[in-house]
Amino acid sequence: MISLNMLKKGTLARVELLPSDAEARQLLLTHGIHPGKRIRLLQSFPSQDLSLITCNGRKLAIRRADMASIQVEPMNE
Amino acid sequence: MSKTILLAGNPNVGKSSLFNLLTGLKQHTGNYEGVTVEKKTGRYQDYSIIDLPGLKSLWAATIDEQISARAILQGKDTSQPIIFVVSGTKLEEELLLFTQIADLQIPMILVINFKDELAANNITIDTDLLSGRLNCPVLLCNSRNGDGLEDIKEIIHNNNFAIPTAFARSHYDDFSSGNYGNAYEPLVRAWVGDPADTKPDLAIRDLEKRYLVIGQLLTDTMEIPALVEQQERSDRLDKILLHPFFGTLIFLAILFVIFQSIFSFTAYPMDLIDGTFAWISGKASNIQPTWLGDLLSNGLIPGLGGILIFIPQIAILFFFFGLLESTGYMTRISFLSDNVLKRFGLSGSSVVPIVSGLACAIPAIMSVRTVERERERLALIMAIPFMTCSARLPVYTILIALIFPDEYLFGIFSYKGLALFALYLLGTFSTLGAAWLISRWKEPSADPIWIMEMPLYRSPHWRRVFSDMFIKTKSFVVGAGKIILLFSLILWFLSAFSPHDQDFIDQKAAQQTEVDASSVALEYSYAGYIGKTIEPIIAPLGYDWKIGIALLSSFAAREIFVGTLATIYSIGSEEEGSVITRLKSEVKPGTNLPRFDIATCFSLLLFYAFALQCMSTVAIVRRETGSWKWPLIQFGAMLLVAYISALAGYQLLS
Repeated sequence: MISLNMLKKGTLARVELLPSDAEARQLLLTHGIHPGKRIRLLQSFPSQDLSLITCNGRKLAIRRADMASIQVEPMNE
Repeated sequence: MSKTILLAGNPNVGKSSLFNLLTGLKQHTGNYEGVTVEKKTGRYQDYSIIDLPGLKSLWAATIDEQISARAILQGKDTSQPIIFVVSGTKLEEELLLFTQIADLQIPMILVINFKDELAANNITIDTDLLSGRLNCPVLLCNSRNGDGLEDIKEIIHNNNFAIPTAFARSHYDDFSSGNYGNAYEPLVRAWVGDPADTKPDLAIRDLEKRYLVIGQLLTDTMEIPALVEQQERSDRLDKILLHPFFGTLIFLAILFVIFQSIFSFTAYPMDLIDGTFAWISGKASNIQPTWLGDLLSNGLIPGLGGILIFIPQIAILFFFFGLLESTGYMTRISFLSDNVLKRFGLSGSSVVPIVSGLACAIPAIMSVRTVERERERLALIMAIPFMTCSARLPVYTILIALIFPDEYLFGIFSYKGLALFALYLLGTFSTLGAAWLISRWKEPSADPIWIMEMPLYRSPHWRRVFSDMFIKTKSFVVGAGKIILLFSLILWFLSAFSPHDQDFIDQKAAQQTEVDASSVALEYSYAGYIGKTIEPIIAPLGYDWKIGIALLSSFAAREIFVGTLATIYSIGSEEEGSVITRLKSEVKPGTNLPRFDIATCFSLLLFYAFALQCMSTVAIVRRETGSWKWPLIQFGAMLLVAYISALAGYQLLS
């Protein structure tokens, strides 16, 4: 299990753990990110400290610092 | 009484397009009770249809979402039917809200929009099976071309809404903790009550549970190809449009085109409106009795013209915002700006309100409702009035013309243009600085998670773009117009009437042969006395009592400044050229020094850049924050900054 910000570009992973902070957890849930969901890192923009991920066909922008609080398990396709 | 139907769903599901298709032009906007959230209502046959702001869940996060949630919950007791719209490619998250409303046992139909995108992504949905499982009609439609609209109309016409299966009632029984044994009732109580009192744990458990139910439901009824998430066309565009260098360059080019359009394309219609009102005003001055002619030509008509002249600029700005929103590019701007904005305690979500502030602080502050974080919302509400709104433009134009030559730096850059650009930069940096201060003061350490959906790029829905432009412009003109008109009338009254009789004024005019009679009348009017009363306070800034009147009157709305100066300096026309010529020729009493020298004009520019001279903004801030505390702090702080900067500017340059 690794942090989402450690995931390599284009890799698929399964969400394992969400952050313990209730506000952050609820926000992620309403965006469809919850344990068991498949998530893919589309692209990273280090100079902007942002990444693009896809989850359930939705493309989401998320700060790299926030990604560190989401634990995922990389999957083989 | 006609029956009301609510249109509900997540943001960006094509709800408003469907609303426009159903109601045509039979729609109007108002506000939800007690708040400034726009309420779009339209008519279809005997039904009144309300287009609710988009929301993701009844665990509402933003103010817009709370309004929608409340409207849905209020409809629970009257069984107000709901047309629930989802976009077919994101069913899982969007059905989350559907299941919550289903638990309230409200009659619904489920409309799956953008059926063309389902086909393009090879997604198949067994609508009959889904309808059976939900116990509610399920329809496919495309709000962009009206495909499937007749089926929806038929359901409305035949009142075929159905109460869906309740999810929580049947699926919450297996909570083992014991705290959720009868989970349904606490859930409803939590949704109906104040969201601030809700335990986050309850919300999280609720959401997680619902995803399990929906996941199973969709596995049975929907086929999604494995790689549907790779929306190739959008991804290719994002590689360019979100690129740190090229993306930023394209964004700046788009901003440049928008501002060029605002200032170039609007010149002709604005001149036309100005000219028309000057002509009407001239004609009205002959109306008898004299006081009525004066009231119309110097009070009401110029006041009305002062509002309507901004229509072209506001309409163009709303047109571009609508276009950027409908293509999906607006969220890309948020993406590109997040890294810069987060240094000031904001996020990419703040871009739309900040950019809107260039047109007018009122719609900009209203758009803050879509920002999720409370701290960020307050910082924006307090900081946005620093942005260079379109009402500052006529003031800047006059003052810049008084001190900057009609020459070009290196033969390319107009000095006047550079001065205006510098003032826009000053406005933007002041906004960011104020936002930083507020966010540090309010909650220095908290920086919650930021996540934003990047919708697919779509070709613009022109009908919606134009209809939104029309509705929002109308709303601005009517809303801001009332207060401007009222203050124009008050100013006319104070300038036209005097505590003295006419003989006294005639006598004074005969003694002061170097100034014309109307200036003397103004000096001894109520407005003149007010100006003289504040003169000791404003003298250190380089202003006399006449400028004082213009300054005071523009606390209602800063754009009144130009018109007031025109009146005070006895200029028949409000056309800028003549105002500038007259102001340039004004001298300080007893000297040959110009009244509007560099120091005074700089001082005025700084005062107008910082002061909160807009009563409509004060009123909006009061309504959005729910108390007088914040607008009073804002008004006082901005006035203090304006006074100190103007004082420093004048004292350094004089």
